[in-house]
Amino acid sequence: MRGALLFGFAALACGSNKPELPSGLSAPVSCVAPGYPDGPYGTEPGSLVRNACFRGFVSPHTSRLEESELEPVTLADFHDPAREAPVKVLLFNTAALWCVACQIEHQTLPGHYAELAPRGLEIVTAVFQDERYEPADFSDLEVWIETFHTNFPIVLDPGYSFGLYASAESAPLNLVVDPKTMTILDKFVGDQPAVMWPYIESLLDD
Amino acid sequence: MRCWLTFLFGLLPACGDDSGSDPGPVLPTPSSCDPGPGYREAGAPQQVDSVEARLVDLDGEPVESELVQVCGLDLCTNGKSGIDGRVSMTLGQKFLEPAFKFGEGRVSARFAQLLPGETELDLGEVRTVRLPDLGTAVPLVAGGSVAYDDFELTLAGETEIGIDGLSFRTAEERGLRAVAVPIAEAPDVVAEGPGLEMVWAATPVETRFCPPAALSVPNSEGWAPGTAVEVYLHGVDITEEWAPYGGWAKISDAVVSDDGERIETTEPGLPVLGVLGLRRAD
Repeated sequence: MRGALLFGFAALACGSNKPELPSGLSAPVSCVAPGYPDGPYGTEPGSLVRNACFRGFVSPHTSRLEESELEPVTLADFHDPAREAPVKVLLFNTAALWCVACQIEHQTLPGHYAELAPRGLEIVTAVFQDERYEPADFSDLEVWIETFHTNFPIVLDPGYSFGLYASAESAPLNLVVDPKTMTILDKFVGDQPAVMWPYIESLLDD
Repeated sequence: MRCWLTFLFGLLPACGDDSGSDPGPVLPTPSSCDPGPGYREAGAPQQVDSVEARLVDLDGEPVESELVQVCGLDLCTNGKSGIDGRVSMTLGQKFLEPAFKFGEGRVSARFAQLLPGETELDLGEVRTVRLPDLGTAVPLVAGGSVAYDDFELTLAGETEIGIDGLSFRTAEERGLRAVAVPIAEAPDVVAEGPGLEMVWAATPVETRFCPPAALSVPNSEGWAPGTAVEVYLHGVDITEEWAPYGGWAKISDAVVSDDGERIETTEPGLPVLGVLGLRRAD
């Protein structure tokens, strides 16, 4: 059903030639970060990612995995207009406990991160649903981190903020984003390692 | 590829009682057992726009609120059956080797039915297999026999039991449950199998045993003592380590016991738990 949302952005609004934005993008922004790019935001490559606010762990492998230790994390935290940080490429990734394709992807993500973070990659994973398709909670985040030894920022996304970019019933989703402008460089629906990783490496080589 | 198991499934050391409401974190432990033979092959993406189905139990009654998925090797989409058992999924996406997965291994046995190469699919009636009540689960403990009714596993003392800690979160969910599936009423994926004559659905599905477990089930078909039997596994794992996704692969030999009462695995035994099919060897 929500698959239609995925393609809804491309659909033309009746009587106009302006794209019809998913409601989450046209709604008032509740997660404000000074200096974050103003819209218009979009869901496809070439458009800007809207800011979103979560709770999670920036460094889960060195954090105490307790609910009281959850930190506020926003996409704006990774916005770097002056290129002050060495990060060249952001990878926003979604995962759900029911999604075996996500599990397969996450067996290799920590390794990719260890290899490519020194070259300028940052990964942020949003865990959005549990094994029963219910919104994810802390215990889901905890078991995910423990299972996959997550070594990059990972957050809870029970409201599925990333549902703007793909269907909430589908996972995984990978958005490759430029941290300088927060522009979506490419979008991969599904685990596509043979395509996505050479693309990311090419961006890191630039 | 195979070492993914050490990430995905925490291998629970077999050390005593697994009862209690909080099983605690699942800690991965390297396994010394050989990986499965592997069945994964490169496939082409397949466009799937919609899937319709009607889920019924083995008595033909609609099954509501059943968790289902269209899941390929790369992408998964979830859904749920309605009050009349109907499933209607609008997808509009490409999947590698997509299957309709029904049953999550907690309430119903987990099956994967490969989708034909059409974009709009009506699978018609899909039969699900209800598992016994969760409260009847028997803790999986190494160093002896673990029996759920007539379905009996024998686990050596040093057996590492690797349970999918993401799907099975509580001690009860991590206990053994099994049910015999009548061949005549079984889901279509059974009929599409390699001439299976007997089927058992067991959970926690995808549980790994290292070394393999010995399996014993009743000789309900009355095969002669000494009859050679083959044990097959239904593949629901997209890494396809032990069986092709949506298909079947032989995982062990077995034989009818001397007294004709039981069918017992010989070599190598059961490396993984799930929907198991048995047939007499050619």
